[in-house]
Formats: sequence, structure tokens, C-alpha cells
Amino acid sequence: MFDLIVVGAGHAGVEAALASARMGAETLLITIDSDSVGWMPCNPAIGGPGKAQIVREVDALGGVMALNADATLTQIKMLNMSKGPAVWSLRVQCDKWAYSLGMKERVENQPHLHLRQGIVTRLIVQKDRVKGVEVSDGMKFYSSAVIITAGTYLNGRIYISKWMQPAGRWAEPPANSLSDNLKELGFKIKRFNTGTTPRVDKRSIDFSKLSVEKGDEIPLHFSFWNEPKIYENQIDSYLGWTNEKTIEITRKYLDMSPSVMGIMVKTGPRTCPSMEEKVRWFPDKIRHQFFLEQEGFHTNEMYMQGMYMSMPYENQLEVLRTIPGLENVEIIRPAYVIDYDYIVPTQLNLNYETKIIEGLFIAGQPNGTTGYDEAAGQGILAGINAALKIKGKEPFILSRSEAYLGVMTDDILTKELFEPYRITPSHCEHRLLLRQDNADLRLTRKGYQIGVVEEWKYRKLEEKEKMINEIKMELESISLKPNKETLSRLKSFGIKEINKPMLLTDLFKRHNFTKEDLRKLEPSFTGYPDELLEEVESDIKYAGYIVREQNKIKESIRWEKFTIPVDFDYAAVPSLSKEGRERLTQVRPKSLAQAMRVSGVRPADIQMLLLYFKSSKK
Amino acid sequence: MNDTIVAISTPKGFGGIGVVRLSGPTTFFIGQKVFSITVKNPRTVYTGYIFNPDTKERIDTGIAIYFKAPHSYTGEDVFELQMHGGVKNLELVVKVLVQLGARLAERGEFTRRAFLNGKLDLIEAEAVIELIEAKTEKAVKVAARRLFGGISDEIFEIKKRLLYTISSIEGAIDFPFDVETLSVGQLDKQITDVLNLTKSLLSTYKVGKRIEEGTKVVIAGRTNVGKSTLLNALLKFDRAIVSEIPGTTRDTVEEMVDFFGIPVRFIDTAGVRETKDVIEVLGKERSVEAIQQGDIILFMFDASEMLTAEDKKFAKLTDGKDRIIVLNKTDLPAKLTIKELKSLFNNEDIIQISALKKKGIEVLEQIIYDKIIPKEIETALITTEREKNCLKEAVKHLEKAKELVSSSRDELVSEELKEAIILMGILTGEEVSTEILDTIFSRFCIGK
Repeated sequence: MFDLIVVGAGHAGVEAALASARMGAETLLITIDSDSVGWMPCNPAIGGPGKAQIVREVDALGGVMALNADATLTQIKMLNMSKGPAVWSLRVQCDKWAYSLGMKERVENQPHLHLRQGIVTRLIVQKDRVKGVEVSDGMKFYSSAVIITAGTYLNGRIYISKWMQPAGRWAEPPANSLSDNLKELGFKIKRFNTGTTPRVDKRSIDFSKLSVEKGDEIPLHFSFWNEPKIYENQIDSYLGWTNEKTIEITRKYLDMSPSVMGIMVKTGPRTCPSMEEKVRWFPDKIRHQFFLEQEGFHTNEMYMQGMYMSMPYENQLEVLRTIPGLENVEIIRPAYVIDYDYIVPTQLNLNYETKIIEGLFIAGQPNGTTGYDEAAGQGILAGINAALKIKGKEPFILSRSEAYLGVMTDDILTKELFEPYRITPSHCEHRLLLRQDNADLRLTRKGYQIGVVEEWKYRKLEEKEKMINEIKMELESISLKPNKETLSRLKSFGIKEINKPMLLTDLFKRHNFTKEDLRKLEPSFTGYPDELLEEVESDIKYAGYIVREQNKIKESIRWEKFTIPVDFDYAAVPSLSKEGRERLTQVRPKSLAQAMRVSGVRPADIQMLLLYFKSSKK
Repeated sequence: MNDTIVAISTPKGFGGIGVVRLSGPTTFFIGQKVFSITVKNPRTVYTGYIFNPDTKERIDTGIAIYFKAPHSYTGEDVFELQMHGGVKNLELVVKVLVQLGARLAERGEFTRRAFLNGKLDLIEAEAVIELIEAKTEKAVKVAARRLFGGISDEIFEIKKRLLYTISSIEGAIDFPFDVETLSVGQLDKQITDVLNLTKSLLSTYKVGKRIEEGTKVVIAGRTNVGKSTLLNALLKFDRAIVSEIPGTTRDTVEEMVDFFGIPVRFIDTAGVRETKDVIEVLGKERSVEAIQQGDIILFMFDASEMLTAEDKKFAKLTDGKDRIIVLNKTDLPAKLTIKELKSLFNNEDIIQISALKKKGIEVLEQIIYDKIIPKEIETALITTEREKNCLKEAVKHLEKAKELVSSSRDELVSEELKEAIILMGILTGEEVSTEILDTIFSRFCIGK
């Protein structure tokens, strides 16, 4: 008898199992192949806009994704540096074998966590309550809760043109009976597709015809619990362009795509269009860019970011060989596409537990999302909530104004998914507040209080908070007077003059006044680490906007508090639009605020609801 | 909106016809019950009589029209009974309909329902009130243009452009590998364009408000320059008492007229001179107030008198106002020349009249008209304080965005543009609190 069983050891499963085990729950992690724990079947990259914020939040809650990425990275880069720090986003590429091995090591050495290989075929359910799982060899495991983190394995089918094979990933068996079992239990299930690029042999490429993309050579770190450092020996990536010839050849093979042939579902991520889709959707474009990224330190396989395809192998080769530098390219693994089942996520509660089966949680791709980062984020939340449920404690729910994790949760639970869900900064209305640099300040204390964050991390947080307060106090206590000496100093540093006494903190508000300027003016600040000064700088420079955001948060809390009964009969409000009523009935929002965000619900519908509740209260 | 409302939709009183209107889910059921002929098809006129189904008592003869949802004013089922325009017969019909289950409509409830059902946006709803309240032909024109979506179209264009720019910025933030960041020049151009659109819409407020609420034209000047005589000349009747004695007008005198299709309130003020007369002092204070609140000042001088210190003092009061310099009493021997006056007013145009002899009045009227409506109105005008404030706020955010472009703070530029979009939504009613709705719809008379 276990407290919790996690089905699948991908990015969601690993974080879920580790989190619940850290919280003391006896956890069983079942995977189809114990050689591929935390495997990255697509691009071995972590982070990027929106995703980096999620990874940092997982890290702040004691998760391992960032730690493992730091330990196994081959290249590190801060994106969006030309814009403000609210949208700076770290991205790393990892050695995909080292990454997986690192995860396996963490899982195998975590107290209270047990790893088993096996294919889960069905859930053991009694009276709408989950009791455990059954694996393909007939063995049964019992538990109080189960989390399904099955990735693309639920009825997964991979395709290269008309060739199709049931699989969760290349050469790995799918979990078909589990998916059928979920349907039997009454879950609404839909299908999405996704794909991956060819892997090409490094030796067959003429890099002189491509441009080099180097990693950053400044001190960086993904995990808050590592110190920033300059990474030596990073692997270069390369940027190249397709041309009119490439497009012409691709056009020849458009009808070889399984989605065009009608044998595969069409709904894939629009943000990762395949070569075929690019040619169809953007017929005016004469070229498309792509990146070549090496998949590890000890391999010649290179991932071709941007070159997703589903045509036959020999056609893939023909298309690639039109590209300058790739005239003699050899493909090691062809590109393929996969379609798979997902469980429509409006069937979940905010704690990732399903509405119809108590104790059953779902996280990651089975919720219709895409990305390792998104999966890890849902995994840790599901793991935490399952552990809390077992202990009989209140669920751990993050709101849209607290974390990107909250934004993602709210989005997938309320919006209708038309494609696999990927988080980006534009999803997050409070992003000036929810930055990757302050995820620990936002979440680590909360995590510590529920027992998912280790003591030493909490102590480290306290130190950081103390130092930030010191910096802020110093900035508020030092005032510059516009006397001759100060003015000439400002001039010599190239800083715009002041015409009245000014606190350093006010000077810091100026958009062109940097932390370097601060250190020149007041050398005592040299003692503080860069990151902490940047942290304070962001808080100060964004202060006006943050106040505005906080006011909006207060306003929205008003509507959050306006609760709607779970069993509310939307048919009783006759003037609701047809679509609005259908969506509201499906999603069953907990509050008027959530109802406002349900896609397909018009502002007029909200007015109707409000009027209805107002008049029924009289 | 789960109930059916009823109201008399024509003005209270005796008229040719009177209309009783029903709207809501049980409309047809209730309406048909009181009408003698079966109303088979929607949007078709049926002639019959209206009766009380309980007593079988006939109330009136009339016409019934049924509009089926959503093809009606409110977007719900609507039933209209047109009968003779009395007071008691209409009230009786409403009473019967209420007994059958309809509820008396609140102020503006029909239009409110139309808004909530997406039949009109908030600006169009406001235009309905304005159309009903319009006092002159011009005001009808302005309201109609708003009702036909003139403003909504422009706001839609502004929103479209804002969305385009925001999506370019956000695209580059979300997908730095795939979407190129807009250059400072491109971004600045896009924002400047939308800022200009917003500003030009905002600038229509002055004219819009003048036409909608009436323009205040204040006649000012020192005592005994002939202000009251001019007032009477403009009104075409003797409203103010006129005498030779300086200080005859002790208080401000006002009169509202239809001035070539525009509602204009002419205000005659007490002249300003040093005095110890308590009543005159009070009047003087009122004069100063009237000048401050006036939209257009007719600043008068007496051609038969030398320029006095009081004239000059007074001139200061009207600085910065929209003013017309009027030189009166040009029928008398001149002691004050145009040249002298011009030097005092930095070469502003001066209109020469004789209020007493009604000379130059037509020219003056033309000039007043042109001041109220600078050129023929081609665009839709904004007319309410609410609209003005929204646009003013939006301009502020757009200006801030423009400022941020140069420091490459695209994420903040985006914030400012989003605020501007929200304001546009508030303007058209897509984002609006119920408190605001209540205020707007309470301006309607019942039955609209």
C-alpha cells in the first residue's frame, strides 16, 4: 500500500513523485522504461520566454528541473535582453543523456520514492474513488491517490507519412488500455498531435555556410540554489535558412503528410509549424530560418529546430539537401509526428484532481499542454496537492496574480484548447510582478510552509530577503545634493544631472540609470551581488506599474469572492448566449472572476449572471 | 432577463397614437391574450381590438406587431400594441398586461436589454437618449451619426491598430527566435498614428458638447456699451431692459434659442465698473463667473467713447477664451478706432455693428455660428463627459508609450497600449461596471 502512485516518469511525473516524497508520502513511480526517466524526446532545451518563469517557480518550490539543467547544460543564453527584465528569459540546451541520467539518479536516491518499470493498464476505482492501479502483467498496486503523467503515451500513434505505428515515443509501446479505461470511467477525451525534427549527422554538414550562435559568457544559473557562473566549453549552435528550392520541393510532398492524407488528427501546436505547414500557411515567404543544435557532448546527432516534417524519409533528405551547408546531409533519425489522447482539462479542479474520480490527478501532456517546462510545473502542483490531500490538508492553489503556474492552471481549466497549450509571457497579465528573478521570493516561503521545500533552501531565501532589504534601505537613506562636487561627479560618470536633492532610490527610477552607475556613485554597493541589485532595480523601475497591477488584483479579488455554486443551473438564466451557457456548464467556474475568463463567454453573459444573482438575492 | 417587461412607449398625454410595448420570454403569450386577431407572422401588421381577457371587456381598437427574437429592438421577443393616444386607455392596457404576468419596465430597460443582448453598444445606447432629448436639428444629426455607429467605427479602428502593435511586441517577446522586434522608428510611427486618431476623436468633444448640450455665448464688456441691446437683437425680441443709464442690467440675463439648428444660450452680463452699489457688485461677480463658464465671449466696445481703463482691465478677463471682439455704436461719431482696438488685441478680427440700428448683426451671427462649428461636421462627434474622459486617459497612456519606445522598454510600451485598449472597451461598453450602466440607462424615460 502506497500513499501515492505516479504513472509515468517524464518531466511531470518526476516532479510530482519527488514533491510528494519530499512531503513524506510513500510514493510509487511507475514508468514504461526505467532507462528513460526525464527523457527529452524532442528538443533537449529547457526554458525560453514564459517557460523559464515556470522552471524558476518549480525550482522555488523545491523542484529539480533547474538543478538538473544547470548540471547537464551544453549551452546557456538569456533571451530578450534587449527588453526589460520582466521578460528576460533563460534558455539552456542540455546533454539529453546526461539530463536523463541525472533525473534517474535524483529519483532513485529520494527517500520515500520507489521506482518500478511497468505499463499501467487500468485504474482500480471503487465508488468514484481511486484505489490503485493494475499493470500489464496483472500485478496490482494500491494507494490513496494516483497521478497520471503519461505524456503522449495515451493511445499514442507515430507517423512518417502513411507509415503508422502505435507508440508513446519512437520504439516505445503506448498505453492504450489506460486511455480506454479513462473513457470507460466517463472522461471526455480528445486528440492532439505534435512532431519532432530530423536528427542529422554533424559530420555531414558544412558549417562555413551557416552562422554560429554562441552561448552567453556571463555568469548565469537556472537554479536559485546554485551560484551564477560562467560556463566554459559550451557547444555552439548554428543558424541557417531554407530557400526557394527547399520550398518548391516541400510543396511537391505536401499531400504526403498524414494530417493531409486524413489518417491523423490535425490539431497540433501552431507555434511549432512543420515545414509543410509553413509552406501552406505562409505561401509568400521565400525562406524560413532554422537552428542546428547538438544533442549532447558525446554525440554527433543534431536537432533541427524549425524543421518539423512528416513526409517519407527519402523526401526529408531531398528537402534538407537544398539548404546551403546541408548539400550532403545525412539523417540519423527521421522526423516523425505523433497523435495522442488528452483528457479535456476542464474536467479538473484547481488542485489538478479530477472532478469525477476522487484521488485521481492528471498533469502534463494528458491535460493538452506541450513542453517539458509546462509538464514539470503541473507535475509539481499535482504532486503537492496529492500529498496534501492524503494528509487531509487544504489544497495548494496559486492564483494568476501569484505565479505563471497559476496562469497556466487557470488557462487550461477555463479556456477551450484549440491546440496544445504552451505558456508565454503574453499569457501573463501580471508579468511585471511575476518575473523569473523573483520566483523564490514569491513562492519558496509558501513551499516551505507546506513541507515541499527543504530547510536549507528556506534559510538561503531568508538571507536573500535580508540583503534585499538592506539594499533598499540604503538606497532610501542616501541623498544626493545638487552641489558643485556632486554635479561634477555625475557629469564625469555621464549621468544626467539633478536639480534638487534626490534619494538614490529616486535616481534608480530613471530608465537609463543602471546598477553600474549606482556603484560608481556609491562604491559601497559593489559588495552586493549583481542579481540582487538587478532585483531591486526591477522593483524600483516597475514600481508605478506594479502598483497599478496590484490595484487590478484587488479589483479581481472582488469578483473572485463572488462565488457561483458548483451545481448552479445555467439554464435558469435564459438570456445567456448559447455558447456562453454551454461553456459555463462545461467548465463550472468557481467564481464570477473565473467565469469572466472562460473562453466563449461574452461580457454580456457576465452582466446577465450578475443581474441574475443580484435579483435572486433580493 | 428572465421576465417580460411592459411600458407605454409614447409620451404621457393625449396624442394621435399611443404604443404599449412588451419585451421578454413570455411576450407573445401575454400580448396575444389581449388582442382579438391571431398574430400569425412576425413583422406583420394585424388590425383588431384590445380587450381584457378576464372580463371580455373591449378597451380600444388598434394594431399589433410581433417581432421575434433576436430580430427586435431589444433582441428579445417584442410585442407592440398601437392604439389611440389617450392616457387612461393606455394605462388600462398596461394594467391588464401586468395582471397577465408582465412587469412594469424600469427607466431605460428596453435599451438596456438591447445593449446586453448586443444589439447596440454603449455609445449607440447613449445616442438613443440624445436623439430623444435633441432640441435642435443639428443635435438630431449628431445623435443620428452616433447611433449609426460613426464613433464605434473609429474606436474599432483605433482598437484594431492597438491590437496589431501589441501583437507585434508580444510576438517578439514570446518567440524571440522567430519574430523580429519592431525597430524604434516603426514602433514610434505606429503609436504616433494611433495617438493622432485618438486625439482627433477627442477634439470633436468641444463641438459635440456644444451641439448636444447647448453653447453658452456670453455678451461682455463694460457698462453701457450696448450689451442688452445686442442681446435683444440676437434674440429678435426684447428680453432685456434697455436704458441710457449705465448699470441698468444688474444681474445676468439668459435666454436659450434655436440658433440656426444649434441650441444656444445667450447670456447678457452686468457691465463691469467700479461701484459701491451692493447689488451691482454682486452682478459683477456673476458677470465674471459667466465669462469663465462661457464657450464664446462677445466682447463689446463702444465706438463712440474713448477706450477706458475699465475696458483694458476687462480685456484681461477674456484672455484665453474663445472671443469675438465687437465694436458697437458704429452709427455714432467715432471716438474709438479699429486701429486702436486692434493694437489692444494683437490684431484679432473686429466686427463692427450697430445693435440699435440692427446693422452687422447677420455678419456677427455667421461668425458666432462658425465659431461653434468650425467647419461642416463630417465625422461623428463625441458628446458626453464619460467619453471625453476615457479618450483623455487613453491619450495619456499613448503618450507615455511613445516616451517609453525610445528607451526600448517594449514590455512597458505594451502595458500602456493595453491600458488604452481597455479604455476603448469601456468607451463602447464591452468592459463596463454595472454601476456605470445603471447611471446611463437611468437617463432614459420608461418605455425606451
